[in-house]
Amino acid sequence: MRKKSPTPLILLTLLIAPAWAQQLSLTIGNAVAAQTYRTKNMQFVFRVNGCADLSKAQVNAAAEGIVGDARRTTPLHLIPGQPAGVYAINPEWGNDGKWVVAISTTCLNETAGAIVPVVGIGFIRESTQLLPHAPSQSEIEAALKAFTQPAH
Amino acid sequence: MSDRHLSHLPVVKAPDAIWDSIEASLRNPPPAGRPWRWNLRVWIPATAVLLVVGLWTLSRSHRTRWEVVRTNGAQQTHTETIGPGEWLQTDSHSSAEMQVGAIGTVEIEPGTRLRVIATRPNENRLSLQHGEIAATISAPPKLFFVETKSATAVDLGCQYRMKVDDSGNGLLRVTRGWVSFEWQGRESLVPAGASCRTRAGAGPGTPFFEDAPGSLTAALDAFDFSGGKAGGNDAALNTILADARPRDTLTLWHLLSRVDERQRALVYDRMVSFAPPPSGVAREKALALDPQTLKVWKDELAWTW
Repeated sequence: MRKKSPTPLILLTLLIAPAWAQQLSLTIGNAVAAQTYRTKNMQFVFRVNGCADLSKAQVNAAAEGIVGDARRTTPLHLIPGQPAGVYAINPEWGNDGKWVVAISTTCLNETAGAIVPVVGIGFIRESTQLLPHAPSQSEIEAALKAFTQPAH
Repeated sequence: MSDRHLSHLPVVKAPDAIWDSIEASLRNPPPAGRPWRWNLRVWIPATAVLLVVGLWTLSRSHRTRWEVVRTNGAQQTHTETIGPGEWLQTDSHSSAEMQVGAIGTVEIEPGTRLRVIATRPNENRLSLQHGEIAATISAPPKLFFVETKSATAVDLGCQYRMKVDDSGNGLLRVTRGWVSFEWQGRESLVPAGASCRTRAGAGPGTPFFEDAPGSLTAALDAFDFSGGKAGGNDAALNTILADARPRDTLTLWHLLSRVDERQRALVYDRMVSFAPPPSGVAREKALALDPQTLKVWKDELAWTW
C-alpha cells in the first residue's frame, strides 16, 4: 500500500512549533532569521525553544550524507548567535551528494531534535522533521532515502 | 655626605649680584599670561599642522579609487581605476567587475551606466543610471549604497542583483542576507530569496518571494503601482490575501503599514491565520502600527521566510 505523504503534517508541525514554547523544541530558519550579516553565508540557523536555562542546554549537529555509494557523517561546528540559543550551521560537507543535518538538544531532562535536508544555500522546509527526541539512526537513513531535490 | 664632613667645609659669602637678582624678581614677578603666550606660540601652529594633515587625509580618503577590470566576452581587456564623480559605462558586449574597497565587488553587466559617488571607509555609494549590477558585500550593515532614480538599495550584509531603466523602473533580487530598499521615508526590507520592484515616482514596492504564486505577484504589482484607485486596490488586495502562503507573510507584513485602516484588519487576520502572533504582539498595537510590535513580529516571522 502506498504511504501518504507526510508533508502536510510536517508543515503543520512547523507552523505550530512556537506554540510549544514550554516544551523543548527547535525552530529552523533561513540564515536571514538570525538578523545579522554574520550568518548570511550559513546554510541555515536554528533556535532552541523552551529551555529555562540555556547555559545548561547541550546542542549537537552532524551532517549525514550519501556521496555516490558512500555513506558519510561529518560532525558540525555550531556557530552561536544572538540571542542565546540561536545557532548557525556552516556548510562543511562539500558540494557532492545529498545531505541532511541531524540536530539534537538536551536541556534539563528533556530532549528534542530535527532532521533538516539541505540543498544549495538553504534547507528544504517542507521535508524538515522536528522531533521530540534525538534523531535515531533509522530516522536519518529514512530521511536520506526519501531525500528529493525540490522542483524549481 | 655626613655632618662631620660638612662641618669641615668653609663658609663662603654669596656674591651680592645673586641677592640683587633675587630681590628684583620678587619686586617684578613674571606676568601671569607669559606661559599662556608661550603655550599659544606652540599650540596654534601644532593645531594648524594637525588640521592640515587631517584635512589632507580626509580628502585622500574621499579620493580613494576602486579597481575595475573590464572584460569583453570571456576576455579580460584591461584594468583601470575609478573614483568619486566618475562614470563607468559598458556597451552591449562588455562587462566589468569593480572592487568596492575591501568590502566587496560589483559586477557590471553589459549595457550599464553608473557613477561612483563616494568611496569613504564609512560610505561607499554608487548611482546606477541604467543597466544591471550584481553586488556581493561582506561588511557590517549600511556601508554600501546604490542609488537609482526611484530607490536606494542599502546593504545590510548581502548579495543581490539590481536592474533599472533610465526612468528609474527596476527590480531588486536578493540572494543572500538583507537589503533595505528605501525612498522618501518608505522602506522595503528584502531578505534572501525575495525581490522588490521599484517605479519612478512611487518608490520601492512591496517585497515578495520569488516562488510566490504568479497571481499574487501580479496583484501586488497592481496594488503598489496602480495609482491608488480604490476599487482596483481592494480587488488586488483580496487576491493577495487569498493567494498568500505562510511564507508570504513577508509581503503581508509590509502591507500592514501600506493599507488603510479598514484593510489593515483584513491583512492582520490573514497573517494570524497562518500562525498565532508571538508574545509581545497584540492586535490593537499591530493595527496601530506600533514600531516595536511590528519589529518583534517581523523578527519572529523571519523564521518562516
